[in-house]
Amino acid sequence: MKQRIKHAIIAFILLITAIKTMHIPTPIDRNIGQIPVMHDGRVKPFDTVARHYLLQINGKLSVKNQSPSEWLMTLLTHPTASANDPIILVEHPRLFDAINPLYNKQKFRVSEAFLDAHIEKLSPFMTEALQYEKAERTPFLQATYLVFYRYQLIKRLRQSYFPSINHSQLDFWNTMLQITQSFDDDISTDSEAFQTFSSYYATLTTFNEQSDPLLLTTIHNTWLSLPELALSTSITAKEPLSIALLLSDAFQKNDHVKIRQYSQQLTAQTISQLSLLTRMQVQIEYWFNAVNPFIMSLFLYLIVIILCVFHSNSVVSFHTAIRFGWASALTVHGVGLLARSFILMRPPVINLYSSAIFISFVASVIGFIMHKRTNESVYAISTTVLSGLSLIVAYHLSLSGDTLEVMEAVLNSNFWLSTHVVAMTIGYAIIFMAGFFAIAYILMGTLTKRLSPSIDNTLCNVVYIFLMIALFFNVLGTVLGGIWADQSWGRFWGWDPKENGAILIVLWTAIILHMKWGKLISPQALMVMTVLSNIVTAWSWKGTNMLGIGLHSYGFTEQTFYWLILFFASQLIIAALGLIPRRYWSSNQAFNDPN
Amino acid sequence: MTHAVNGLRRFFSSIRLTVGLLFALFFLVLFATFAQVDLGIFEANKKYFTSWFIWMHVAQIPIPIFLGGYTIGVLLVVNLIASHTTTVRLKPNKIGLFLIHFGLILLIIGSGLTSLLGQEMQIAIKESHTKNYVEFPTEFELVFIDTSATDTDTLTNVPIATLKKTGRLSYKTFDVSLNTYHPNAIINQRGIVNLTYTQMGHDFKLIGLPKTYKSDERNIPGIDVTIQENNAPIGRFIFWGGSDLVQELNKTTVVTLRPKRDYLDFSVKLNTFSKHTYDRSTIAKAYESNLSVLSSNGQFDTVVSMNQPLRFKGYTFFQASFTPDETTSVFQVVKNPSWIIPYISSALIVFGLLIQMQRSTKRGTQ
Repeated sequence: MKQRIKHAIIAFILLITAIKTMHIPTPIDRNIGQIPVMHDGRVKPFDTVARHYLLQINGKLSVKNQSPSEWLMTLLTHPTASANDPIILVEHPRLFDAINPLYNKQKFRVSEAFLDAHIEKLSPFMTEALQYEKAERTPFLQATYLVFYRYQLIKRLRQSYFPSINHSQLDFWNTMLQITQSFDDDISTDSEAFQTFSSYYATLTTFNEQSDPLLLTTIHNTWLSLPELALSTSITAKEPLSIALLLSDAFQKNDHVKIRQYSQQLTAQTISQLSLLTRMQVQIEYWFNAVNPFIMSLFLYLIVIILCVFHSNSVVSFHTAIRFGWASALTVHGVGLLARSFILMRPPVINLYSSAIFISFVASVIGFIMHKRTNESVYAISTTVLSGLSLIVAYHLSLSGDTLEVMEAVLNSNFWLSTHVVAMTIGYAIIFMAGFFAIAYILMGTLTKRLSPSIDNTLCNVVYIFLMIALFFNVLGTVLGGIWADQSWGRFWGWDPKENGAILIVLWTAIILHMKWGKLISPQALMVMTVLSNIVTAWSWKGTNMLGIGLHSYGFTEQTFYWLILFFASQLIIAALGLIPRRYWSSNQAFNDPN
Repeated sequence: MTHAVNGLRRFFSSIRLTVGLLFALFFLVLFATFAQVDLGIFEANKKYFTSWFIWMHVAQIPIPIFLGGYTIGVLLVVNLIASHTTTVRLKPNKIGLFLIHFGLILLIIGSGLTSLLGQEMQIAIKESHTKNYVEFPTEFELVFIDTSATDTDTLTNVPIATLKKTGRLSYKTFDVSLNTYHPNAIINQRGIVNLTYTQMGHDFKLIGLPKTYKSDERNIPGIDVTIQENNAPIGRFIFWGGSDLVQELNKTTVVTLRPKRDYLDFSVKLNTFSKHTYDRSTIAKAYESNLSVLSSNGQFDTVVSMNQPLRFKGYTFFQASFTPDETTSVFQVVKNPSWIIPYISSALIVFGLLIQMQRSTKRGTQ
């Protein structure tokens, strides 16, 4: 009975966590969020585009009382709406502290209206910022640059749907049609009606010259923006245009029934032009955004970690609960990865973000199997901590923009992505696992009395085996990378920083293994060296991207740097702890104590 | 005596040496990666990997401070061979180890061969143009062209490095003496005519720039020379490697400074170059060059794109770049007779590791 109550409570906690981490869509959101849009070379649901822009401007995904889709639709359809909402992220205390002392902090948000009034003061700094490459800018100049970028992005978004008159986009089009009807085909170009018409026409063409318009519908396999539909000579183009403008009108009037009606019509109109695969991809992407699988699995891993801690500190067994929680986390995690692959029709790893997700997944699967076979909590704790940390890293990487990006020409090869990149990432995952087992060994040995001689022996064996497997995958991945490079650039090896990083991991693993084979190293020292391999791996995986040279350097944010340093420091501390002579270890005293 | 030989043998075959060398290589790669930030990949490689020692200049006296890539490579090969001839003999249970180590020896030798025999060249072809040579983008030559024959021109090439070293050179009755040499330069219109110079130097000025180490920039040299014919001066000239302009010495002799060429016994015509972007975006999806290759065996058409090079007569053409107007395609051209070695050696290593890994995991779980 007690057992059942315990399990029911834990199942309830897991369920609540899962629901809490989802972005449950509002009714409006469900309607407009699913409209397919062409953006950055890929058909996406409107919801993804909204999230993308909101992240760019706001730095996070929540705005007051609005979902990302509602926020973007408001911006697109109301020329002045939400101008006073503080949504533009500013990241330097010195930017506006003279205007408002409250803004003397590292991170705050200002409104568009505020910037309308004050951004001119920053112009000289923007001019200065543009003279430097990103890496060479001071934090102040970079912050200035970003404020301008976000401000201009908002302004651009306001110009990317349709022109308006008296705040109404529908009225603009209706008036323009009325004027056209009002005059005869042979009207004099001097007449007032013609002059009004040409000013409308000019506004429309200016809108049409937007650099990055919202591509809302597809006619005969060509994606078109609303001004393009208006200027199109095809009569079939006019139907989606009027639906989109009626939707804009319904949105302004906050008429939920009509919003629902028109967004469904617009979706149906576009979807009829898309292939079945694209339709399914858009649908799945919409639900992928709503379910938020990686954040959900992150929280499920956290619960598993807590359960592991309970399990090892109490007489009550949580084995079933741990396994159930872990299995649910893995399922969500795996389904999320599958969904990503399906949406892009790509292997699971295509960028740094997805490599973090994949490392976490690989570690979790292996750890789960080990735990199932042995019931050893140390495997559960070390792998779920590794998986959780890796997902946190992924979350931070996701803040930089769309993570489901189309591949640039250089990387556009599913074969090499799925062999070289996947092998490399599995190698990273396995060596991190060895590193985390080594951390567990040192922490258990020095700080607790749990490192019994049998666990000691098992862990030594496991770490050794993992180092071997990691060496295999890292060499395989590196070699496949060499072949890819030879096929693309005629150069098997180019000493690019990322290649150097890969070779560093291989060398470090080879050093540890040779020292073991040559009996030059004690089990304790082997563990210390393995902990240090975490630094080498993290450096190779992320640090090399920060050097900003070579073909492999894909993106980095300064904050990452501090976290990386913090991680290095923590590993050094653990390694130092591992260097304490064995006789002072808590476990040693416990197990050698004759009593 | 035998004692000393044995000691030496023991030293070179010891696993301690292996570990020491691996550590040395680890730090070498690490330092080189950091150095790449300032020096660029090319210069850092020269200093760290394709060298015997890493030198530091203390008051202009070079002091070796670390082993270079060559030294570590050679020592590793010696160490591997020594250990396999003494302690680690070929036994069935060591077959994986042998494959890995033999593959490694091959890999190290292969990379040595590549740096010795491999040549990296470049060629830019404009749409509907044909070229029968490739260029070495970092090596420049002063080329004397004798146009006296009606059917063929006779070329005489002098590497600019030679002129830089000796300061002067002779070609037939001409004597060239170097006034200034800029490893990286640009030319700009003078605005007024300078009568000290003849031809290009008349209207253009050679301006020296600091040498660049960025991977996406190129050093283009320029020289300022005085040329005499039969000891009578014909004038002061400037030559710049970035222009096709030829300057006349007399009616049948012209000179130009240009990248060193390797003439092919076939020619390559670029029919079209196309850049495909993802639907309505600026993100490139693929670059493609439609080529016709003309050789004595006839003509064939082919497409070169990213990850899909053209291999012909020992040359491999890779799609590398293009001009902003998208009418000129740039190819990286590689001639590397030893290109197959890394493939074989890495197959051996991976296969050996697979065997070794299986053995260790079995032993470990028992």
